Amino acid sequence: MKVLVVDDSLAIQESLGHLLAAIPGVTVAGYAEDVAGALTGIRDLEPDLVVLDVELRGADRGMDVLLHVVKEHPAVKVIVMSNFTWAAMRSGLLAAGALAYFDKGSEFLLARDWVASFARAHAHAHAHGPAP
Amino acid sequence: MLVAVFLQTPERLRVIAERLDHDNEGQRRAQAILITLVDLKTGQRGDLLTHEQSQLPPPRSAQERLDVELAELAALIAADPAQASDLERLKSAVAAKRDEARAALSRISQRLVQDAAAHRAEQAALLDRNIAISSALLAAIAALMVTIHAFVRREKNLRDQVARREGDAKTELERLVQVRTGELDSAMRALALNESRMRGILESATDAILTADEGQTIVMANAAASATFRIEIDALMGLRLEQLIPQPFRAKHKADVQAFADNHSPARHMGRSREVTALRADGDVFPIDASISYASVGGQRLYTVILRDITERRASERELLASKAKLETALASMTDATSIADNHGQLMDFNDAFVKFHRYSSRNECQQSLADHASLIEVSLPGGEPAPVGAWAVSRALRGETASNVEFGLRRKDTGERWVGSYSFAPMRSKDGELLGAVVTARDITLIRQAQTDLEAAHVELQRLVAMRDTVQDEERRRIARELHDDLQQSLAAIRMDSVAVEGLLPDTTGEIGRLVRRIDQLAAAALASTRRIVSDLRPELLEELGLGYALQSLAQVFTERTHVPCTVTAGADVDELLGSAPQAATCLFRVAQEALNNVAKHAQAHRVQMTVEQGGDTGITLTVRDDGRGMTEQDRRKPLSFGLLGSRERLRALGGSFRIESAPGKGTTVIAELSTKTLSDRRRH
Repeated sequence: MKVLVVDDSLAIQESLGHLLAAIPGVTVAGYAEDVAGALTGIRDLEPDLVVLDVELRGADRGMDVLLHVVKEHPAVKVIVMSNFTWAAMRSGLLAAGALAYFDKGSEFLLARDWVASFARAHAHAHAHGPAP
Repeated sequence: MLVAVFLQTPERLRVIAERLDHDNEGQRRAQAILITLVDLKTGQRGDLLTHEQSQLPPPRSAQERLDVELAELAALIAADPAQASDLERLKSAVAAKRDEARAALSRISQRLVQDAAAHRAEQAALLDRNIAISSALLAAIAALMVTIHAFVRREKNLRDQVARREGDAKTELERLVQVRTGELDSAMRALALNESRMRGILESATDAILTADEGQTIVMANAAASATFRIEIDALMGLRLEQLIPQPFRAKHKADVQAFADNHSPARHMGRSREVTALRADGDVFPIDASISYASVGGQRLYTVILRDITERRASERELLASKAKLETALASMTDATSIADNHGQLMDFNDAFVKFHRYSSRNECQQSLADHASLIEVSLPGGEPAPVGAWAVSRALRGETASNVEFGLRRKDTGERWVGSYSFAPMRSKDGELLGAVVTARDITLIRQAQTDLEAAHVELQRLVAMRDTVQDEERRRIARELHDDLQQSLAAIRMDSVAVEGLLPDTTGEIGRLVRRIDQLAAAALASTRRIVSDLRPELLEELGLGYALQSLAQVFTERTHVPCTVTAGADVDELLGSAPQAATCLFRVAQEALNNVAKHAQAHRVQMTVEQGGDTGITLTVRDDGRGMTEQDRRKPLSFGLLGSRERLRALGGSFRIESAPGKGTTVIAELSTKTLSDRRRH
């Protein structure tokens, strides 16, 4: 299962990439730090899952990426990992189509578990479904 | 026989004398002479008969009397030359007789002692001769008597004649008097009418009226005079004017009246320059106001004095003076320029502050009329347009208006100096409401106005400064928040992720390395929580992203996390829409709420906090932060506001809003901030 990490922090990209890559069946296909990079990555890398930050490089908004994916690539799943802890932010993004919202600083282990679970389900679906 | 003759002659004489008018003085004199002669003769005869010394004195004194009586008779008939010769004859006869008598007496007395008897015969003869002479003398006297009688008769006739003529004249006079009396009666009736009319006037006059004749005796007085002098009219009449004047002034009065009469002026006021006093019947001396007039009636001078008791007037004058003195003192002690004008605006009284206020150098220089005043000083309304005299404080007061703290600009036309006066004014009325004038006070508030203007300018500056400070501060906060969020938080999150990764790589997580890795993770987690709180405090973009309601909820959440005091937020549905056009209003209210919560956390000891933001009025937004803490005491209120609350107030003022704190000890504290978005959008347009 291919994962695209979209975050403007290079430190996060690396640490989160390392964390996710450690999950069996997960491949970190690439990284993006702004909307344009994210859209290119989604188009070129065809990830199964996008791990998205709310704020991106150059005042870009993660919401725009989410909305694009929902509209243009409905097969691609999106979860949000953010340092914003406000309920409003959380509910706003979930409503817009994100599958999950994790606090980057305190819920990254939950996020890892969620991704692991998603990866298992993905593998199962691909093992029993039609060949890719 | 001798004696008989002697006696007979006087008897005749007496008869003759009786025929004469008894009233006749000549007769009386003649009789007196007769008696004297009788006395003379009697003495001589007594002497002759008795030779007694005691018989002598009568004849002696008779002689002396004879001289006197003759002189008197001479004087009496001196007017009638016809009788002069008779008198002369009488006189010479008497003189001769007397000489003889005297000689005889002399001889008698010489020879008396020697030989009385021897000479008795001789004496008798001499006596006979004497008697003869006496008879002749008596005859002459009788003739004289007749003459005198004739004279007296003539006189009497003449008198009768005159008396008759007088009678005629009297009759004629009586007739004339009757005619005149008739005329006079009708004149008197007319006069009586006039007089009754005149008397009516006199009696109804409130002034005392006295008329005195030339001798200054009062001949007429009215009821008022009676009342004034406390004496019946009848008693007043007949008094002399000076009796109504105190003793010390009587001489002066007399001289004055004389001078007045000599001057022939018809009327004069008394005592223009001095106080004139009068004396009542009961001795009371009182001040009067009097005038005197003079008229000549039928050649008689009459003085009429009209006077009035001015005791009360004097008393009220004194009272007036006293209250004027009080007023002067009050005026002098006032620091405000104070003036009193009459009902024409004419300056009547003013204090030194008035002189100073108008930049006059002395009291004398102060102009008297409004027009004079206007020629020197230009007055303008607060807007700057010139104020005509009719718009001045005194004119407004004279139209019945009362006002205070009315501002006028003033300018001296000569020096160009300008100043600002704050006026208070009121009309002055008598007890029955009649307008008497106006009282105007003014205070120079040029410096106060200047200070106010400066203060307002300084306040505007301050607000600009506050606004700028907020902007700068907000930008700085935003920058720091971004740094913290974009960099520090990410790094800390990354550290935590890496710590987990490291721990997963360790063969034995229970060892020293595992413990250290977990510690790193814990520290990073704590640091992350701190940065989040800091960011939440600093970062207002949340407002722009999600609106004030959410921002306040976030604020409340952090507040509760920190203080463990529950905080609810109620946000009106229209608030974010209203604030959409005024982002700085949202920031302002957010900051106010933040500061209020800080204060609650620090001071309130509250158990609950309630934040409400709602639409108030058409365009207003009201933020309320209410706690149930201990509230503010009077002492707390007197303390200067904390910088945080001061900042809140200035923030709101800078945006045209208002800020207030409602609190009572034990009743909690409510902070209320109000903003009008209309003002804000208006501001934005400008």
